[in-house]
Amino acid sequence: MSDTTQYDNDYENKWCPGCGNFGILNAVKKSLADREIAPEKILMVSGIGQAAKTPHFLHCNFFHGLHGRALPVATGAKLADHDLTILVNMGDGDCYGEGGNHLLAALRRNINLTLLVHNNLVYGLTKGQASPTSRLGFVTKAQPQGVACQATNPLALALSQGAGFVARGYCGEIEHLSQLISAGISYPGFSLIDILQVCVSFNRENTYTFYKDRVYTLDKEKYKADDLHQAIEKTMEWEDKIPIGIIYRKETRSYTDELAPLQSGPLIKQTYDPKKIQKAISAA
Amino acid sequence: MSIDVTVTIGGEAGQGIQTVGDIIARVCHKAGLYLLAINDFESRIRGGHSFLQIRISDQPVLAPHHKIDLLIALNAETCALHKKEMAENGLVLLDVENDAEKDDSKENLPEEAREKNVLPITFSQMAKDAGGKIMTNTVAAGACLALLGAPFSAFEHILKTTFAEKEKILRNNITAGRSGFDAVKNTDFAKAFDWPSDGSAKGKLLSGSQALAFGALAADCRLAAFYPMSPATGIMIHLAEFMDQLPVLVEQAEDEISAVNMIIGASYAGVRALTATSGGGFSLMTEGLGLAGITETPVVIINSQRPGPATGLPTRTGQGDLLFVIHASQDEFPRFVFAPRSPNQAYDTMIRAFHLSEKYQVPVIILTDQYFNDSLWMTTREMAVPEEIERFVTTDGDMSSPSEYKRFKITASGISPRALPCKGRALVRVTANEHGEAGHMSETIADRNTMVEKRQAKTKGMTGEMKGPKGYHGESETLLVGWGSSDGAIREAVDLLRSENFDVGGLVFCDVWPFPRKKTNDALSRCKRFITVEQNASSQLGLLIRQQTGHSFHTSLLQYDGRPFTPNWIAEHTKSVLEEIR
Ligand SMILES: Cc1ncc(C[n+]2csc(CCOP(=O)(O)OP(=O)(O)O)c2C)c(N)n1
Ligand code: SF4
Ligand SMILES: [Mg+2]
Repeated sequence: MSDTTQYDNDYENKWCPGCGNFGILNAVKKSLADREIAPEKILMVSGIGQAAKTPHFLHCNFFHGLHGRALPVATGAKLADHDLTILVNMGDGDCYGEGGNHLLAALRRNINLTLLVHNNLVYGLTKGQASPTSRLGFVTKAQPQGVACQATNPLALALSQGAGFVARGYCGEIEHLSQLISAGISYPGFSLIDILQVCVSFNRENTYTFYKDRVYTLDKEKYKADDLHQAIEKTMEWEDKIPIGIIYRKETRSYTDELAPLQSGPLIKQTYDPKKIQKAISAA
Repeated sequence: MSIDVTVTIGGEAGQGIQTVGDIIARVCHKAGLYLLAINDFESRIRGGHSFLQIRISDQPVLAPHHKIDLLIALNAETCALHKKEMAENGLVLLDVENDAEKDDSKENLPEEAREKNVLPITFSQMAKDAGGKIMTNTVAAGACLALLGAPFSAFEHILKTTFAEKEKILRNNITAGRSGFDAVKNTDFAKAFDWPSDGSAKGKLLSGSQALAFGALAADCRLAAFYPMSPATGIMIHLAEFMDQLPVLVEQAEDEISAVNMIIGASYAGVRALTATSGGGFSLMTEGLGLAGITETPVVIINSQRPGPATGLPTRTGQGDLLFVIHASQDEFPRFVFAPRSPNQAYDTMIRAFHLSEKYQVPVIILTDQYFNDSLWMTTREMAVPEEIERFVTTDGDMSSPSEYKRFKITASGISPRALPCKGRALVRVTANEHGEAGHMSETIADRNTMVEKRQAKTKGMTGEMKGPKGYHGESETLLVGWGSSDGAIREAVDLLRSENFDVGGLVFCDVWPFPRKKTNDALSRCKRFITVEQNASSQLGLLIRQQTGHSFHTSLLQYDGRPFTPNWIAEHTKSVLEEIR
């Protein structure tokens, strides 16, 4: 295992003390170190929100884009150069709300990206409004009588859309989370890792204690992650017991393997051939 | 022009109007004639009324004509709809079911369409006799070509290239074509002409969409992401035809927001990337446009205009987005906006757009419209592919200390050396937030001011790249001023007016932003007055010229019905304006 300090930088961190994002940040560093991916070899892409600030706190290449739109940016980068290793950080509002359509499309495309959703069940950066994962009845300043719509179940949604790699992590289990991230990176298709993240400022319900009482790790020996129906059942567990681990994984090929123009290598590595282009245009 | 004939083929969507038009266009093109074919269709797949109008000449054709010489009516409704546009000696070929119907076909026509120049022909019956109703189009094309005076061999040649590999189908089509051809053998058509005998094509026959797609290929565009929207989709369809032979990927995105963000991601990662849409999709892309602006990521976006707002007229043409695209997205950042005047210029503009977007690290918007994209044009010169592509990218080797690389380093030109991620030790950090030189978010007053000024600083160099509007008899007393695809109609209108001794010229913009202020001032300094000619309701270019130069337009000729300009319309309205002054 190599050193995680190579990913440290001196940019001032902007999260609240005690924020669950610190755990996620450390897990990312650990996974990168374990997999020996040098800082200059990693590309982090993110949306907008507290979660999406993550790349700034790492020594790496990053594209910190628009609220909800990290997946298209990451998809474009991957299509341009499918040799890149790309991690995507998004918040629950960012990914399941503003960017919902892009998530659906990414699941269908099954392009090799690893998506980390920092799911704090609330909008952190905009100070505490309900997110798509906030529970029915969750009270906020914007929803003073409580949220009146039901919470989305992102993992079940992903499974229903044919996702090939669906996992849940917890910001309080850093070692476990780092292994999930590593598994996501080595998966050839699209991997979704929904991460239970504590927001100490705006979510007083889903605290470290809340999760400590409920979170349990799926036993790699006993739980076989290749059974879709069992996986869907697992995604329904929440009230008393919350499973973390790889919930579902199936064999797959990456989207980029399927596309004709990418068969001779990443787009960026192919050469410009004016004669060939001239010929193609003239023949058309 | 000694030859100037307009043929219109009209009928319901789904009747194969396109096929008839294609055959006629290709025969004329191959014979060394010039032509322009415009497509007028409704936003539906079957039924309704559509037509294709081909103007044929021995001189380059710049715009559609307002009168029809030969109307091929695949249904009776077509006669009624186009009656007013018929030229004095015009002829209508009307498709009728059978010989019995032939006799009373005129009585069956709507009253206003009954006239001596309607010639009923049993197109579909002849097709059936030749082997199938599906060949009605070939019969109609044959009749049309015979009336124009074309040699049958020229027609046969095109049929042979069309059905090269299918012998039986070819034989039947030749029989069908022959029967159409012979059916009108003894009919006099006033506009029949002597066909050129040298028979070499004068240019390439292509749609505006194709010209844009070819330009993108020549510019080394590698990723084209889009969400289908008329009239832009054709560009992507044409690009997709090359996916099996060139390093270009066409990706259908889940929406336009995704399309623009995808190309930003692709460009950040190092390939040239394009998206194309119409106003509605462009509206969805505006936040992404700003992302390209603040992250200084080069991208090219084509907005093929159609009338709006909202869904508007999906299959028709307009020029209502000029001020919108110049200002689209919140706050300020530099961008280029080009509105090519012709297919050749559209091709060149694509190459230029990619070049300039990488040179200045800014988004480039190309404004075209449905008339331009969907019409079949002829090129006037060769479309050359550049020998080399300059990429304006920096690598570790260019840096004294790659680990200290700063993506947004302050320079006098506003342009920072651009490295690509994961290609060396230099880390490429980019954010949609305001940032410092290293690419990390920053809210300090100093960073904010510096970055705004850095981005704005590019405008100076960018303005220097802008070409002035193109003059046509630009020294005249009155200038007709327009932009983009109306160029041809304006120029022909100028010819018409000058032939009647009006001292009128034209001035048409391609490069509109950053506004070429000095060049516009110069071009306008000699005229007594200028009249703007635009396809919007407020004269957006006129307003822009006034804002940027202080020169005010005398009046404007505005058309916003979704149909292309005709030179005659512009000339007649100009005359009224000038006669009022006298
Ligand atoms: C287009 C757009 N709409 C709204 C916002 C404001 N905004 C910023 S972050 C955010 C939600 C943050 O919640 P989440 O995605 O869950 O991330 P968190 O801060 O909780 O990590 C919103 C609504 C924005 N930046 N852009
Ligand atoms: S608001 Fe919540 S999510 Fe944001 S930094 Fe603070 S604790 Fe973390
Ligand atoms: Mg959140």
